[in-house]
Amino acid sequence: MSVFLIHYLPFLLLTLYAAAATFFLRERVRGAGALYTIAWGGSLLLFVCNWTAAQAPPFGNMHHVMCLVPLLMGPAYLYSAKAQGHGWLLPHYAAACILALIGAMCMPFQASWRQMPALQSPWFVPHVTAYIVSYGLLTVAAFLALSACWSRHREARLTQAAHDTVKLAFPLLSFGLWSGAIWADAAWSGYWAWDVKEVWSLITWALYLGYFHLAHTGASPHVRRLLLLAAFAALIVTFLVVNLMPGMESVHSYAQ
Amino acid sequence: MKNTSKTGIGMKTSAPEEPGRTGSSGSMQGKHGKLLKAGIAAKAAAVVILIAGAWPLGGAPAVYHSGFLLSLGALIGLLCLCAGARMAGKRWLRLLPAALLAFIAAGCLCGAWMYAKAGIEFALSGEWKWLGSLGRWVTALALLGIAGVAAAGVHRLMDARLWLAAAHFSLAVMGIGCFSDYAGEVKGTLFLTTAEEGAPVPMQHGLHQEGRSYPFGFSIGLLGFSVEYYDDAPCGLYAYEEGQWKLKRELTPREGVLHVEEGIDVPLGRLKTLSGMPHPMYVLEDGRVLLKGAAPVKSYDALCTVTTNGRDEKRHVRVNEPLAQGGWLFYLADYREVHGRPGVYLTARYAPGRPWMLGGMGALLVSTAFWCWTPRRGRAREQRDNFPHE
Repeated sequence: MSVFLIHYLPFLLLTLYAAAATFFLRERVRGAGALYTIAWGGSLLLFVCNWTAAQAPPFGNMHHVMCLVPLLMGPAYLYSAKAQGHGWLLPHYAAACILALIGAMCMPFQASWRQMPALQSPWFVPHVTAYIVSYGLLTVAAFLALSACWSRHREARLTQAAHDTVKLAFPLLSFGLWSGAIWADAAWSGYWAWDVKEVWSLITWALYLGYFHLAHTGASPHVRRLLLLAAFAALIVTFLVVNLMPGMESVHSYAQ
Repeated sequence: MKNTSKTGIGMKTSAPEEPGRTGSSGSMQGKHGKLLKAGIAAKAAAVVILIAGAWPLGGAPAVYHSGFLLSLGALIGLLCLCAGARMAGKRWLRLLPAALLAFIAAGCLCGAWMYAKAGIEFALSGEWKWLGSLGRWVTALALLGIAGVAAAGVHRLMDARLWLAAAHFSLAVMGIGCFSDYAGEVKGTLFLTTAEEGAPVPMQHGLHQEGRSYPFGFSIGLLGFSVEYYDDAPCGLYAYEEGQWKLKRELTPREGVLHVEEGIDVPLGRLKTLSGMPHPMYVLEDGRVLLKGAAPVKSYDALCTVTTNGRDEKRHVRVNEPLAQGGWLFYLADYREVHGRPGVYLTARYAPGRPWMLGGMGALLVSTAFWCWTPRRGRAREQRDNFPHE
């Protein structure tokens, strides 16, 4: 049953998230909220099914990790709506969830997964979770930056929302990077090995760090958006290209 | 313009922070513009170097050990120090007691966790032992209280600008750690075996590398080594396609049965090891093959003896649990058998910059989180009022 749900639930969730975004754009906010909540419940069910099928916390491969994105985006959206006043970002969060679910459906599915000794660490779940939440939020920020490039009359609002979302994501991105270094210090006899995955994670982090500095030099919103998109491109390289490109040698190969 | 409204976690937010906001963004640009621009330029150069080394198509990792990147790292560290000093201004003295209180709070939280966990374990171990565990729980609560008081002290001392300054200082501290390790780190491999029957345990007293000796100040030897496997080995479903056998998917047995697909269930007992094959297998009617793999490893455990000043102590070395002694760290790297006796390869590491790096990372994470996550409830309300919903 779990395996059946794992194969077909992502498609259903994708449809629900798309419907939620459509409802919101047609100003049917309550309906959008209800659909988003149902989709989030489905994401929770998908997480449980992955856990049951793997007989272990489902963090072991790209399929697992991409199925986690919609689950973690729910609380992130709630926080963004309540604390930052960005409840109108529901379509963007739904789009990020849709992208993740499409990715999950494209990844090979492995029913079983056993934690190798190197992954048996208290840092494992926090490290992966922080990265997944930050990647989801930075995807939302990238969508906002793209939207701002095309929408003149909402440019300021979209740019500010992108900035707030990046500010929400950056500490989590930092935690993902540096908790990985602390974990590597315990597992691999050194906090930094210049592994290709580590270096691209550092590049991504440095680009988002540079974005904050650029924001305070009075650079134009257009330049800041471009840097945001460049940083997102580095994120895609870190998360997808490094993991999936053939011939790439990395100690993170178990994530492929 | 300074916004001193108390927000969600009670942080005083001092501008400038947000682009496009009215306030002192302009004055910050005037005072710190050159420093900011130098920082951006240095970061951009570092990013270019990093990409050159890690370009997905034939990157050149040698650049990471070049003098240019080292110099750039030193420059970035100095810029962080200057920026942190500028941001903190005359209030830099607050950072020292704040750091001390944060250290106390973190220590008390860890202690509370350990006592609470010990209390639960003790309570679950016997009939009336829950009464005895009350002491541990009270201690845990007391430590939580101290952590709360310390955290309140940090909150009083710090504001958003000081957190940002602390983040810059943390990066400088990490830089000190990096350079200390670059200059002084010692890393090498030891090979230890267990003792022959009736013979003393062979001990290692130091590391010998490139003609130099690095004494540990103690001795280390191997008493035993064990490998634990997961009970169930996964089975692979293979199909012959395009002239080769391809793994279609992995199957985990449930209650001794492999569920291949609807209508095809294969009991594990049907898999047999054929002559010349390393693992049990079963051929399905359609030609696909089920092949049972080797059981995955669950854990490695090396039991070592450490002798310091004539005193022996037994210590375990596992993956993610290196042995720490006298400033040295010993990591489990590999293992093999020698004349029927277990032998392990340990990576011995002496890293003088490690405390700086770990401390700097922790401080960076805390200060970045506090700077970024100061909620702005006033603006959230304004946003909701301006964009009506159903």
